Amino acid sequence: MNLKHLSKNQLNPITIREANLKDLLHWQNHVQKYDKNDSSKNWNWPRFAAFEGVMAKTLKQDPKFLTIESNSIPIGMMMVANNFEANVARSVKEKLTYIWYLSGADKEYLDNKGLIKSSFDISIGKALIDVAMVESMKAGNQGKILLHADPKDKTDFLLSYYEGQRLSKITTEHISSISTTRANDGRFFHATKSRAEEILFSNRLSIGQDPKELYQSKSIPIKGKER
Amino acid sequence: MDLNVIGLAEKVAIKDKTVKYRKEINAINGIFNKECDDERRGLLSLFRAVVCIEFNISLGMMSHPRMEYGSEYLDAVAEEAQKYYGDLDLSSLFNDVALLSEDTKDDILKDPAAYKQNLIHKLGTTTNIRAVSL
Repeated sequence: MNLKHLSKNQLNPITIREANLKDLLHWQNHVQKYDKNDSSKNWNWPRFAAFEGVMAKTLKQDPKFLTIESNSIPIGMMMVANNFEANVARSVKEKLTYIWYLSGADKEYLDNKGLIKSSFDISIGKALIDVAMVESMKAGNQGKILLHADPKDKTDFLLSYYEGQRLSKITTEHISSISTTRANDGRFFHATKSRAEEILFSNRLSIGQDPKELYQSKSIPIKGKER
Repeated sequence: MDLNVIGLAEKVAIKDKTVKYRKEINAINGIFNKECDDERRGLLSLFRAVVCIEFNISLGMMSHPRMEYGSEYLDAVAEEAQKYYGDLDLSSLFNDVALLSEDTKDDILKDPAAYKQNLIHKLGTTTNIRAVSL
């Protein structure tokens, strides 16, 4: 299925779909090599599927790999777990969608493919977070998401980036541990139900899409052509 | 989903492996909850991760072609195993393995049993960790 999504520029409509092993191999072999970020340049997406993906399935985390494409060219890749439980706002565990891995294609790759990054009126990272929130709604998690800014990012770019995307940092004074085995290192970001709704609403307004369509039914409506 | 993806004998085997896994995790958690030293708690988390990897390997992960991510067989095996987890904190258990560095994953996968023995040695005989085994 395609979701017509997040692009004011009609020359570069983007589609979102669930990625399969072939997509992960393609991303690894053709897109990943351009990645210059310290936190993601050594990622191995097929291995994520073979290791984390399989274990997330057996441990009932409801994992999914999602890819964003423009003109059938992959520009973003993400792994989420829709059945993750964590302490984010209080000491009671909440079910939400955890973004385990998130990666947008490097500018050099986009240029090589004739996709100029500046032609996207919305950043790929922002689109991926939006997709995760929609996925969270579809999974019954009310748009709630959680992610961790990789500490390998020594410049702290990710901390300011996620704050810029209006995600809330989970302060260590407020929550000391995300789960029984994972302390809060001050690098977790989340979106509550109301914050996710605000962000999704605002994103759709900015691209001229009717935000009310998000809430037409219990499941998120699908727009665009079926694959 | 095709209900015949896994046979009865396989279902019994999955149940046995999952029940053993559950018992082992509960035993480790019992030791973990009484441990105050951060370094030792870290080793116990790692031990739990190794046990999780061993369990998934026993189900066919990384060896059985039918256990490839996205396969109907994996979905069927996962669904069967999920019946027997009881009240295990599955997200925390997934956290344990998902946070491993690539080098640590490689070391564990080379020989999980040997890695486990090494951890038991590091944790010492002051805990009941030796009694925990699959």
